[in-house]
Amino acid sequence: MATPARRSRHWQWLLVLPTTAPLLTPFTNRIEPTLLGVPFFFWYQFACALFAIVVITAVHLLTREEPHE
Amino acid sequence: MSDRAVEVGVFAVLMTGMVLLGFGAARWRAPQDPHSLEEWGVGGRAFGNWTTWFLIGGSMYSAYTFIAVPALTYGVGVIGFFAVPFAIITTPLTFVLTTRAWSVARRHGYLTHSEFTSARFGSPGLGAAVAITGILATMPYVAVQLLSLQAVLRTVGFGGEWPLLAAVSVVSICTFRSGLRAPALLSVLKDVLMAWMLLTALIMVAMYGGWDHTFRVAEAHFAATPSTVDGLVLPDTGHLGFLTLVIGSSLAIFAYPHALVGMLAAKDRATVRRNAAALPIYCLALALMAMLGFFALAKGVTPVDRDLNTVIPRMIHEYFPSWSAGVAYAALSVAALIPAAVMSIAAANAFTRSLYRPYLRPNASPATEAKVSRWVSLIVKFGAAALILAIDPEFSVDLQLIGGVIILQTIPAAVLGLMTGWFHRAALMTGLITGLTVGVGMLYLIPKRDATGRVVAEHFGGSSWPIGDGRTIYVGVAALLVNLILATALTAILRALGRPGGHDATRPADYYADADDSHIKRLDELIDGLPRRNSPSAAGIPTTSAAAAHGSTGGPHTPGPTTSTWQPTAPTGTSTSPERHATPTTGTPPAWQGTPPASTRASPERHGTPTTGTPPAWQGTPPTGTGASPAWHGAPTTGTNASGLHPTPIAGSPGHGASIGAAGHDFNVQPNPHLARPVDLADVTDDSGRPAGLGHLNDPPPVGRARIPANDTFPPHNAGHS
Repeated sequence: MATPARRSRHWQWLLVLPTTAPLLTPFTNRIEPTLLGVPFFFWYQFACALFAIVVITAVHLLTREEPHE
Repeated sequence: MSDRAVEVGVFAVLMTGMVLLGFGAARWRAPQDPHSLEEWGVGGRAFGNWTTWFLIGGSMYSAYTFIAVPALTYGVGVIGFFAVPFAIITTPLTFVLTTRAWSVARRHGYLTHSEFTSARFGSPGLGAAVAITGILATMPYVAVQLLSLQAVLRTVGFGGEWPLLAAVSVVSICTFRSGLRAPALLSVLKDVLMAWMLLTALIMVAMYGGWDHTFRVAEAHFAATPSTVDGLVLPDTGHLGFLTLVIGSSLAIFAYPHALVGMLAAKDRATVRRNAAALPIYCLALALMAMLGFFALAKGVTPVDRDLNTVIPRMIHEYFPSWSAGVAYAALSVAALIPAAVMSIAAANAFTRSLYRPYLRPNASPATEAKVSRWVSLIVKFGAAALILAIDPEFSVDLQLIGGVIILQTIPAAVLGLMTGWFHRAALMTGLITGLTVGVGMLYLIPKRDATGRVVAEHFGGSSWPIGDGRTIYVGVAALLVNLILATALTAILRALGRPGGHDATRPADYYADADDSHIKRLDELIDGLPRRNSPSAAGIPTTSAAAAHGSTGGPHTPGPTTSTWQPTAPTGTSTSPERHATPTTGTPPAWQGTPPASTRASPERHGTPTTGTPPAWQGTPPTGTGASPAWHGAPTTGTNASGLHPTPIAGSPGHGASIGAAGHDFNVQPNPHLARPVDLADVTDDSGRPAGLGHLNDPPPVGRARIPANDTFPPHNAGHS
């Protein structure tokens, strides 16, 4: 039996973005520009967390599973 | 009143309140049957969005995280910040992996990774290995939580050992009584206190010079130390070590038994998905805590007894208003106790489901399971306390390090298994054992060095394996690579040789099952032999939740029991009962002899094995016309549609179910008095962890009556055992 057909399952590939973004340390490994005195390396991770909230929420909404089909 | 008195007073009052709440938790959303492992161990699988979110936050973002991570940034700078990217990337992975885990676990009633592994790869031995690895990895994890708690208590002024023992006793009793409900309820309060603590911390930083000043002082400090690896940015050679640590840690989170517990308690898939989206909020809190390490450094906070874990509690004491400090201490203490409770519950579940039931007492009733888990969770907690009291605390940190490495070795079976059943059980087992050996061996060979590079201890000096040029790799990931390569190569070889793997008890659709997914329903009908068309009876079967009833002994989401229509009428032919599982009953007519009214589908509770002569729980589950058949192993139990439950081996390939469905056609035959017991496929799945026995139901019975194979080899316990 095939897995149930879900609409727009491919939207899940968007999740690659918040998964890789925090791992880009070779590109984010610096102090400047600072934000409120916080070095870039650190506030970039804060930004990644917010980005993850946005993307996961979007994917959740785009691939929402109807409880009663 | 002195500052210290206020601090301690607030702390004491809050802790007392929490303990009372923990005791009361058993009554919160009280289940109808609190004595099943489903209720005790995963809260009846009925927690909603908020409760789940708090519980997961409470169990994954523990005191160890909130205390040890700032201690690391305080000590070595940016490397300690690895916890933040690690926490962030777990969230999209949760969205994908945990929803699959939730569905398959819900479908089959699994409580642990080990149970899933056993069923997925048809190997109780592999399941047991995963369970043992999980328990071994969890023990020191509980121990470091208690160490964090000790650090807080020591700062508050409760030195010595008795405060720790008192705290462990209290939390043990709470858990013993209330199961997962206690930590879930306390998580909510903990987060309120934690939010207050973080707010105070932000104000504190703003008042005492701001982040700009903090980071400038910290940078100057790191520049002055002899060490080359500390600082505010990674050294050029530091990326590989940092990234492998991040990746390894985030994968490990999915393999630790406790990470699954919180999610399994969620009531449906959407809850899990929404939680994945909201979990990064905890990452923000963690990142903030991590930066507080720099603040403590900049302000020259010094640890008590050179124990870096006391840095944050000391900072709180020195810079927070005293009553706010009391709140923060309470938050941190509870943040240590909640994960300790959840972890011990998870370890206990793993023991009960993957060691006790398959190997010690195959027919354990839900009540027995819950009892065993209760006691095991107690042993785990006190064992962890004994660990840190009896041996050097330093050593339990080493054990935690080892724990992180060994739990990673279960990834191919427990986590990749969620995505693919391709691996061969023998290959996985070999990979697991090799990975464990390699990982622990590498840790053993790493010497401990002080800041100047001098070796201060020969063994277990860290988890960074040098690979030349000053680059390092996280041992857990290195061992996992060996493990994975071996498992993949061996699987390819075994498959090429035509050696079949174990039987996979799960099917693709299981990984998408939802609490009220109509697909589950459809699958049920196919498996149960209820035709969706061509039968007048089928039309009357509403498509209500199927899985909800499954494995749950009257949990809150069980479709309303309509017990009145479920009248156990002891058939006359009971004496002919060919007890197929070699568990002869005591002579009293077991409850399953009750035959439900015609054209209904009963849903035997899967644990309700008729061994004790007492009516098993499924009696109370729904029946008539509600179509509440638990997952696919809920078998039709009467002669009324006997042809439906027979026979066709459904094991394995999708599509077989359809033929069963086609076979079921006669719903209007009178209940057959000679039907001794319902063919309870659930038992089959249960006992061996997979429905391997289904293939043995091969004899098509005469229309209108079910024949039950009388052989004892059913289910073949060890058929798939490697």
